[in-house]
This record gives sequence, C-alpha cells and structure tokens, in this order.
Amino acid sequence: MAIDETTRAAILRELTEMLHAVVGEDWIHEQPITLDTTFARDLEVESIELVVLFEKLRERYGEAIDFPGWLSNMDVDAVMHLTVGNLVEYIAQCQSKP
Amino acid sequence: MPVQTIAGRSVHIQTLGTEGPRAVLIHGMLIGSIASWFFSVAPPLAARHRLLMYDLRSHGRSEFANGGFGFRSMANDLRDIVLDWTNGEPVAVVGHSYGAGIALRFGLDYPELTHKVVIVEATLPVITDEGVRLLTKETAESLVQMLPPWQRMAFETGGRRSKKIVEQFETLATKTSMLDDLMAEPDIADAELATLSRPALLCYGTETPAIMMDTCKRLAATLPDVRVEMLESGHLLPLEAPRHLARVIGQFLDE
Repeated sequence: MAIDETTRAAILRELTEMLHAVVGEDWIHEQPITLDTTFARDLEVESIELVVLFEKLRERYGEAIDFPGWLSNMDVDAVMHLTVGNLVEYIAQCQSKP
Repeated sequence: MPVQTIAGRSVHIQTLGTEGPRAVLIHGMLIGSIASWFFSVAPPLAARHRLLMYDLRSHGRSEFANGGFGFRSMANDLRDIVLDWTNGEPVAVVGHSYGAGIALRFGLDYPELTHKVVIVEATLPVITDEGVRLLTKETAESLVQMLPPWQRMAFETGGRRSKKIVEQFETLATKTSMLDDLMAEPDIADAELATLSRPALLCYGTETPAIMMDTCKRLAATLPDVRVEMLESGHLLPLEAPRHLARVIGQFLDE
C-alpha cells in the first residue's frame, strides 16, 4: 500500500520532536532533520540515545512496531547507515497494516 | 519508563521480546552499555525470549556511583533488578567480558534466582596490574581500535559520539574506583567454581587473546555442568558475531 506524503511528513515531525527530547542538547535544535539524515554520521547520536528513541517510538506507536524483528533483518552495515527516512518508512508501513 | 528506581538507585532498563524464557543481558565495562546488546544479539534472540538489558552503574544512563564495581556488589545490583522484574522467578544470566564475571558471581551467590548462566568471553581475574597499567596508559581512542570496523567509523569522524564514549571511559577510569576494585577482586577458587549448580555455556572467540582462552579452559574444567562454543570472532563477540551468538545462546536457553 502506498504511503502518502502527509503521513510521512507527520511521522517525520514526531520523530524530530522525539530526537530533540532524547538528545536534549542545544545543537540538535539547529540540526536540519530530513528523510536523508543519517543517525550515525549526520546526527551522531550515541547508540544509547537510539535505544531510548526506540523506546519512545514503541510507547507512541504501540505493539505494531516490531523493532527487534526489523533490526534482525538488517545487517550491521545497514544499522550503521540507518537514515531517518528508513525509520519513517518502517513506521508508516506498520501503521498502514490492517 | 526506561529509567527506573530499583533499591533506591536509578537504573536504565530496556526490555525486548514478549514470550519465552527470560534472560538478562549484561554488558562489558568502560565502553559498554545497553547498546552493546540492543542492536546486535538482542533482536534475533527476542523473537522467542523475554530479554532485559540494563546499563551497569556509572555506564550509559544509569546512576553514577564512584564505587562498588567488585563482582559481589555488581551481582547484588543484578539481584535487585531480577527481583523487581520477575518477583523471584529465576532467569538466565548472559554476560560479556566484565559482565560475564558478574553473571558467574550471580549464579554462585543467587542460584535460586538463576536458571542458566551464559559466559561470553570472561576473564578471571578480570584485570592484572599489567592490564591496569596498559589501560591507564592507553587513551580511549587507541582502545577503540579494538572495535569492529563499522563501530570504529564513529570514532574516525572524531565527533560527538566518540567524545561521549571517551568521556565515559575516562570518567570510569579516573573518577571511580573501578580499576582498583577490579584489581582487588579475588579470583574465584576452583573449589567454588565447582559449586555452580546451574547449566553453563561458555562462548569464546577463535581470535581472542590467549589470556581469555586460559579462563575458558579453566572454567570448562571446573564448572560441573558446562558446554563450550567457539565462534569466529575476537574478544568483542556480541558486536563481531551477533547472529551466530544469538543462535547459540537461544538454543542453549531453549533446552
């Protein structure tokens, strides 16, 4: 099922707010966050911050989100190069399932 | 809530998995945290196991403490976490490196709370005078050369991530009694090792330094109910061979 732009934009906005909350430092507010932004290189979030982010996403989007399953299917290279867009896409797909 | 108060201290805890045997995954010292397991071994293992990971005191987002890093003290921290999680039902304890020493101590001190013990790359003793000299002489930057390439990339940019991990390492090495506690940690006598009353799995890397393999051989010879799995890897097994390690641990927990 196609994911529309409005849904993507809404998820991106929520994800951005969560990242601000998780990192909690001034620089993140100056940082442009787009679908192409990488967690590791562009944002330089610590692994531990990603852990906290995933917890927040689980609280927000519920059990439809299966991060362990999603991460299992990625090799470690893919995790390292993860983009905000990858995450938005995954969340959108989980939400669109009946 | 990821940060919980357990026995009066703040502990950062993450759980994954909704069914199957329970296991606590315990990370290693200095540069470890929940993240050491969360992105590596935990995802595949969580498919059929209920997992709890936590940041050790003064690591990750758990409360800072400047002492209490001996195995007995750390096993007591773990006891509080397990009691809170399961109300006294036993769990498997799975530890890497320093975390493996904690798991072993826990299995010896709290057999009633222990279902099985998985020891990934433990060393006994944890650290010698020589080791401490090395660690305090080396900078964190040179130590991270031990990390697998995909993690090392984070440090090569010299940016925020590497600064944070260097900070954690330096704080622990210089502002806590961690290294002193570990040097003072008594070895566990063979006679005591022989009293471990739970099944144990030893996981070691084929490329790990000889000093680690010496411990592997010793544990294999003294623990009463023990199995050894060798995996293609160096010391940082959970990061270097996560899928294989998850499979091996999962099979052991399911028996």
